[in-house]
Amino acid sequence: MKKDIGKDMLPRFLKGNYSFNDHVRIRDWLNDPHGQQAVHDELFHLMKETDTSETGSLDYLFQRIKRQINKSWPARRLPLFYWKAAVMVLAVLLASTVFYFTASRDLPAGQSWVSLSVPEGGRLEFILPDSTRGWLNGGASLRYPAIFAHSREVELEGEAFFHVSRHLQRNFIVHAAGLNVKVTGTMFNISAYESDKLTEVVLNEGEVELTGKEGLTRKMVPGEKVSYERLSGNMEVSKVDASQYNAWKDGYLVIDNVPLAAALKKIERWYHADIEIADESVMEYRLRGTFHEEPLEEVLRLVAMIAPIRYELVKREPDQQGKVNKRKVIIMKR
Amino acid sequence: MIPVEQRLLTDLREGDQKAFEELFARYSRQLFQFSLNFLKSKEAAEDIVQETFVRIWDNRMQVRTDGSFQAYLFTIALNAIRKHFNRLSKSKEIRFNVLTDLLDETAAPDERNDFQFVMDKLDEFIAAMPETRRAVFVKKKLEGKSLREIADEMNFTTKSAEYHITQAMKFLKAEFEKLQIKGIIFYYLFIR
Repeated sequence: MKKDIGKDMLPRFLKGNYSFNDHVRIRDWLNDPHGQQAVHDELFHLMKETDTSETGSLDYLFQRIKRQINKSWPARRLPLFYWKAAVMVLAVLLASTVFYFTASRDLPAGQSWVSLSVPEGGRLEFILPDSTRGWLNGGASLRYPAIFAHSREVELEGEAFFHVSRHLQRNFIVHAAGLNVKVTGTMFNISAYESDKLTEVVLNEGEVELTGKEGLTRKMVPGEKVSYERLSGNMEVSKVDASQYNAWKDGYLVIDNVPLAAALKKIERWYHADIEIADESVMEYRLRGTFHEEPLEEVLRLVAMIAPIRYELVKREPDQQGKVNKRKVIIMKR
Repeated sequence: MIPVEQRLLTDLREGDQKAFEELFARYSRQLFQFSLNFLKSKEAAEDIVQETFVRIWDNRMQVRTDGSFQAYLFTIALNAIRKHFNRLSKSKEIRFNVLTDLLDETAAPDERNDFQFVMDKLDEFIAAMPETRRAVFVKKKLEGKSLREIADEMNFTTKSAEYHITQAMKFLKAEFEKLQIKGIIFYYLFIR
């Protein structure tokens, strides 16, 4: 039998003006399998009449929703030309793999090299012929032999995260600016941009051995970060939360207690922008923060709230060829 | 159907996060406020909005661009609303039983239109109890544990557990009586 409730009961109930028996009636009405259409229509009508003039902001809820659907949320909407670059790189990768399977017996090792590069603002996941997986961050490039015959040696400029497949007989070696990283099977992040003073290695799992200038070596344990100053050859070791350092591959821009100058460099690469520093005196100020899916303007606004700086976004105008240049930001002292 | 909305839905189907954000901005507040009014619980209302929009995103390919988005949203939300209503219903029934114990028969609360008010008052008074007393009371009356279990959990005798219950009930009765003196919760006697 279809359950009915009085006409005025629901509005009264919504205002909080109801008895226990009203509650029971509404409960039964709501769960009556024969009256679902009426329940839907009646409540839908009431929802559309709901007054929201007193409802506060729900931004916090949207942030929660974003976090929950993070996995299916597109990592970052890249401009079309980045996609084109990524597709091209993938094509190169596929070609190299095919090459590996068809021609590996005839060619001596180390003869042909494959090179991957990612434009600023982009990221790329890669798989090497030995099934080592990893990610290349924006503005980075990786060079590796099409065939990993005897040794597995690659060259890196910029930042990458490696998940090296285990081969007891053959070490995996990354040659990065000023530093060589020797690996058996492990996960680690390495940042070695020519434009930075430091080469940084953070170890998540396993074991790596670093070799620097003049035969300097060091074994790392998981959770360690080594910052190697290329000019002086100084090596600084600290304990860190290693996962923070590869969060970039999931779309997080993490700035972890670094001087403003280094933070701005990172932001510059992340957003493919030009950041000009008009006043060097604030550059030693240290900064910490994590950003996800924020537009450049928002990140700058937040940085300017923490650090004593002001910024100015230079208006972009097409040049004579009709080409729009990189975004340009000028940083000044506040 | 307004063209702007049709455009948003087309974009949503293509995975455009800006369109999703815009739809959230348009429809989340009414859904939230309605859920809050219907369920009387902020946490539940937040859950409803979250569950609904996550499902919309996950099933964005199935969103029709030629129907009413709000009706579609509500169909998804209604299932969540029903689920939460039934869950909260249990705790309402438990509180009703406590109130029946507290208030004498002439004040039987089953037809009083201020059930929500009395329930909120009950929660407020429970929160005002000293810590141990509140713990014992909640375990016994709201979670339905026996005196024996409570005594074991809290590491004292059943006698002292019983003592806390008696004191708690006395306290609640006194607080409700104060409200009656103020005439707040007995108005129904005259209008019935």
